[in-house]
Amino acid sequence: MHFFARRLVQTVPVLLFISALTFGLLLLLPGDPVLGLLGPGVDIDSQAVDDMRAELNLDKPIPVQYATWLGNVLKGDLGRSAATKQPVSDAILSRLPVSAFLTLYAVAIMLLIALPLGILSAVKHGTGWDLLASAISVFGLAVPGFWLAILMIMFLAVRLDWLPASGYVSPRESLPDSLRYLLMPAIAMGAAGAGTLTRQLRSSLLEVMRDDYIRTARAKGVRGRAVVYRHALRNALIPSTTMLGLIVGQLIGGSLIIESIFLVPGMGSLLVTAIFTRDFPIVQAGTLVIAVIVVLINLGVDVLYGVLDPRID
Amino acid sequence: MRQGTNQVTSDAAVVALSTGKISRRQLLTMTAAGVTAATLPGLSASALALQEAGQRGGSLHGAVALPATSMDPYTARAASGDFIVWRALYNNLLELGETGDPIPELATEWTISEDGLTYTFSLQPGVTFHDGTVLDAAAIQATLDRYRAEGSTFSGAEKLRVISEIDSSDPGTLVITLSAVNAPFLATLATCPIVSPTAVEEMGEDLTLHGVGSGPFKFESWEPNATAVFSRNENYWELAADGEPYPLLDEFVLDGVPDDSVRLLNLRSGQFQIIDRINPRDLASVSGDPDIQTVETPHATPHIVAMNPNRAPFDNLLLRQAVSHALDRQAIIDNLSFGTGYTTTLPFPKDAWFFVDDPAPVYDADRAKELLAEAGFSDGIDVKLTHINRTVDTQLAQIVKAQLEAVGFRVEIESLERTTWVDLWKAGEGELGLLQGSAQPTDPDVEAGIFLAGSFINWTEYNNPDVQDLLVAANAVTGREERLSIWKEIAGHVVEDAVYIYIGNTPTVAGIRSNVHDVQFVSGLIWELTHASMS
Amino acid sequence: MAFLTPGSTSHVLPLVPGARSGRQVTRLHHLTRQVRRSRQATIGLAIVGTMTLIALLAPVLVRWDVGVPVLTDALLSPSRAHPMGTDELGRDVLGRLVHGARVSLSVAALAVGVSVLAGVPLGMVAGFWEGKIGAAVMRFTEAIQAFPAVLLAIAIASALGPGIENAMIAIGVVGIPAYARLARAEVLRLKSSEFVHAARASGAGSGRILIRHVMPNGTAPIIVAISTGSASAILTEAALSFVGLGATPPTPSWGSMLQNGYQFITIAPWLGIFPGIAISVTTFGFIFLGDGLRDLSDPRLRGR
Repeated sequence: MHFFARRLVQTVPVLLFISALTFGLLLLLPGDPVLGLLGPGVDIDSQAVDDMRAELNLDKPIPVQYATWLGNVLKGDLGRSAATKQPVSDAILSRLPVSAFLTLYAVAIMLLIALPLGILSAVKHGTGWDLLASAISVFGLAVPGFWLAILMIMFLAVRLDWLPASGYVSPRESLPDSLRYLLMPAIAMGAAGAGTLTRQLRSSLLEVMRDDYIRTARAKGVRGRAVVYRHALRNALIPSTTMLGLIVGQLIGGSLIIESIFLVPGMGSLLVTAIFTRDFPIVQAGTLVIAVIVVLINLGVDVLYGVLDPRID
Repeated sequence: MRQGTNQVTSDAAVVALSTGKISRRQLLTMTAAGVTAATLPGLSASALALQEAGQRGGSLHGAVALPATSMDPYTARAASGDFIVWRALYNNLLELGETGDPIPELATEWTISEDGLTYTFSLQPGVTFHDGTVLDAAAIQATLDRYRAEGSTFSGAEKLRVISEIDSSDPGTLVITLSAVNAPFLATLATCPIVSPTAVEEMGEDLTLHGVGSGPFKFESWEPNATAVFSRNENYWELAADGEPYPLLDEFVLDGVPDDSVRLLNLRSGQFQIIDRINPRDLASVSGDPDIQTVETPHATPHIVAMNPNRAPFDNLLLRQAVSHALDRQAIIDNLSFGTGYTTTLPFPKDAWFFVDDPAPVYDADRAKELLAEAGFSDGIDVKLTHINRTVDTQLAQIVKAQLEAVGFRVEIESLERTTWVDLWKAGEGELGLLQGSAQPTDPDVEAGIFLAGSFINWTEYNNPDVQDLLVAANAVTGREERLSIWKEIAGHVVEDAVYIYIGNTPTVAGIRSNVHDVQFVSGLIWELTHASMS
Repeated sequence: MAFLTPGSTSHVLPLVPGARSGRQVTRLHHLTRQVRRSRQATIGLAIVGTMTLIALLAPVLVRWDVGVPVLTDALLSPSRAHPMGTDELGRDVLGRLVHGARVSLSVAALAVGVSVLAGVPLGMVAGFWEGKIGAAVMRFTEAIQAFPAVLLAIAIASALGPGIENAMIAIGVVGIPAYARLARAEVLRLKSSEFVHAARASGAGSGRILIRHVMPNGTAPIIVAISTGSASAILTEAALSFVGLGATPPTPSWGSMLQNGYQFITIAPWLGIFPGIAISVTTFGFIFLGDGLRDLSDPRLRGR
């Protein structure tokens, strides 16, 4: 637990740095945020524009803006969306579960693909099977996720009418419907992760299988499959767990375009819209929330790794 | 009536209105059917036939390109989704039909004084807001006062400043006095949704997230940038044939889906029953689909090439005229609109009484080269073309580049995010730019802001004193013919000055699934769902 | 898209176990000789080589200006005259793909260049001087990695303004942490190796050890990472283009062609399919090449 506490303390400066970085990036963005919020047909006077600017604190010096924002965040107040006046915490609370569910779904699909493929690849190492499995996993990585999404919409939704082209049903409303609606986005999101994971599993399995105790096991007459399942897989899963943690972290942030294509009302689509409309309160808080989750997952992975592999202090 | 042209229908409407022998519903249906039948000969008339007693119930799920930005018109940013929310949640004093003719709504009838300054509206009795507040003259005044106040963020605030006084002492009558004759005033009122004054007072900023009006639908929920849900207002004031109040639908769900392809895919799959526009490129792909009706609305999107006359190099009139002659507008609009569009001189749709396509810039590449030489750039000139990174503008940018380079310009394209583009042009630093407008069939004044000095949407700060005078004159007379002749004069200056070159209009085509009936379009493209039903 | 950071595709954990001796100096040499012994590396090299060749020869292969619209030829489906059809402005898709190879590959090269030139020194410093500097660098990379990669690229690209050069920088910056972590891990591994101890014992200074002993021995994993990183850069460019922040028209980058093609997917599927295939095949090639190189650089895998 000493290790855990130390890592926890280390995350504080990371989060501070992220919040400052977000803030800095937003300042670098060209375009007056107030003008960004105004629509195409708006005909209002300059007084109203100035009022909006003051309301968003944009008329104050930059350090003051940051300090005010940080102070409010520490008090638990994330502010209100500049565009819609929705409390940012409400926006995030309504969208985070959606992204979380989609991410879990994507992870499930990833595991379904990666586990068999990774094992096949390692067991049949060096054969045509290995090459085929590698090719499949590499393709998962090589195909742009949104292209996969578009192809799926074209064939599975439009041509064959098997799946809804887009949209979202909450799993609380109807789990089967929810799974049907989110199947394509989950595949599009999970494909790359499945590729990564398959490859990780393959290489760690290969490594473990070369280790002494496997050789010992083999020498003692434990054969083929049994070796893989009983001994190798368990040990090979340790680095794969770490990898999975990283993948989940990236999935949460990597869903931006996929969510937009499939009209999934999650964090990704929220952030993409917000960055283009210069809705700073949403971008700042949204990025921070994602960063916190990613950092916590990394922390969890580190801790888990420590538990699984006692050699780490 | 259905076979009638616009003009016939609207005349019929005017007659019927004045004699009071026609219901508001019939009027709306008539105008809608008139326009669609006139502009879409291929469409079966039965699809739009008046359903005598539409079925009750059902949830209508629609999608628009630009999601609603607020539930409160005061803070809404005038996106296409906002106007549709306004029609669902709120009532106006009146509506405008397809040809700009007023249709009574909260105001049952009105008179305009001899001098054209005083408007007296008789109000629909017994109307209440969704929160129970009575909708009377005072409530309407409260809304108008809020919209037109100093520092108001209402998108039409400037247009309401012509009001000098409002009298609501009689709850059943609203008297508005103007400071000057203002021909488009009724059109202005048609985009002023009336909000519950109680809600304004009690909810403050939260009203943005929770609109309270008197419209056919009540607010249920809204996830900004995603989905808004509205439910049937059981106490709506307008009665259907069965003696029960409209609307017929139980629920109306509105999504914002910026991507044209995604929106259409979902219409085809039945996820959505109505979408605000089908990209013209996709029209061929839906024409064989029996489940989908395509409805050409009287609204259109003008494509505009803009030049900054206050900054080198386009402060040079000859150079601007060279650009104007270098562009083959017909070829461009054919390409952009996939053959559905037409050239225009001003941001007006072709079936509007104020449509102007003459005078127009003339495509003449040799003349363009001459002008370029006369302007002092016989060796060519480097210019920067800035546009917003949406598909159509990207397409237009590349054609403009090629056509200008053919006469000796050297064009560098910069694709910008909308915000960045707005910032650049608001700072007066744009050179050559691309714009998309919104051509509404209701009144020429709706789009006049682009020519008006000091207006937010006059991106180039175009300021021709003659045009300024003419704009004032065009609103100070009320006869359509007089107004049209003034607008033709304005068109002459616009072509001559070549600050804004109107390439042409792409008509807005809406998509509706065949099981949806009696959706009407007001102000061109806004869905009026009070009488809509599903089967 | 976000997954393909070199750190994740090769190794997040300390790299390439085994290989602990001075023999490593010759590893790179072995590597090049043995590329053809690995099927993966061969396939990868063939693809990457072909694409590079196409990119280099583009002006010779396609002599016309691929940016100029031919409005009368808009949206023609694939035919003998236009094997991959034409786009909405009547331009030959094949011609644009060929020139697009130039754009996309140079984006990849320059973006990876930025990542490597900034990330590797950073990581080496962090690994060599572990204490406070190392911790600071690691916190920095953690922070960048906790940022959603595409969002970070979008933010940087919008801050810098549009255009392919800025997209390259954005993609490059996003890749820095992965190379930094990779380099650090290598340095940490090599630092404890016998030959570094030996060098230190013989009185060599830190800088000298870093440059003379650590750097040459740590290059193999970096080369592997560059290969997969190139794939990642091509995909990120496509993602940036997809949200409108990539190449400026009429420059034909594959990402912007794909984005554009997506708009016409219902009526002209060839516009979206061919650029997608070009991107996929090229990234596939880079990843295969990287994999093959890694297998070859790991002596324990070599013999099998």
